[in-house]
Amino acid sequence: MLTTLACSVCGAGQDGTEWAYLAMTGVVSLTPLAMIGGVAFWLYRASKRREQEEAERAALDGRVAPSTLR
Amino acid sequence: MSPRPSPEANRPVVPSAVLGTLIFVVAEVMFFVGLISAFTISRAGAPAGTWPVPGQPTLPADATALNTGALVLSGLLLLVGQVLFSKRHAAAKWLVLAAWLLGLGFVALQGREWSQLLSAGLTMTSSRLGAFFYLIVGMHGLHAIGALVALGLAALQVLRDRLEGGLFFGAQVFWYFVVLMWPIIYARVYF
Repeated sequence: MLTTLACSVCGAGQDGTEWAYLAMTGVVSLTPLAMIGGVAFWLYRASKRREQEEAERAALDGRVAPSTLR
Repeated sequence: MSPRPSPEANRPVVPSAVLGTLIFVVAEVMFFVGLISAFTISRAGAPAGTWPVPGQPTLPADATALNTGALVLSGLLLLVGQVLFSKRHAAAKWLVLAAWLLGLGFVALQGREWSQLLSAGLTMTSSRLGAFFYLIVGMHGLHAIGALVALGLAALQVLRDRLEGGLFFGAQVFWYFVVLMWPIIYARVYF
């Protein structure tokens, strides 16, 4: 027998859809955190790499690395 | 007199085009995650034997594996092309061009698949599967076309040895998003 529901989420919690709601809640909640964390970590690493390159270049030139200037 | 920092110190850590594209890609990933989430819940709630609707065509998962392979290969070629480009290797331009052509092939094959499905009776309004299929795959196709335009412009610059700004790197980030998003859509929607 087919049942008619009043809205698209009126079937929430029924057998068969419960796992889908839980799994998708997890995916939708964690994906942005993972992406923002990943981008922030990548920027941090790129920044550190730049500082290191700058320090090495400064050492070769015999000057003070800009990252150490205040 | 205090020592002057080198001009290198004023160079941004990440090109603005790359950072801007990354922020855009993060938003677009959430757009697709939302669509896939709705698709998954809708499919899980479908009564047994109604997904796909009897009499409606099933999605050609086997044929689409070829498109998927072409797109993944395109991403890999672009990755190798980027590595060679950074080493000023002459072969880089041909790899970028090959990646672009494979991407174009992907879009063309997807177009042919749509045409066959439409003529077989699967439309936006024929079933929930049809509605989700055309919405999710269609939005991915639009992103692929947009990325192809950007990558094509970048490839032209690379071929002419006149690469300016962060266009190539921004286009790459967008293309990798298109490439990496597709296997997820393929695995979720076609099976």
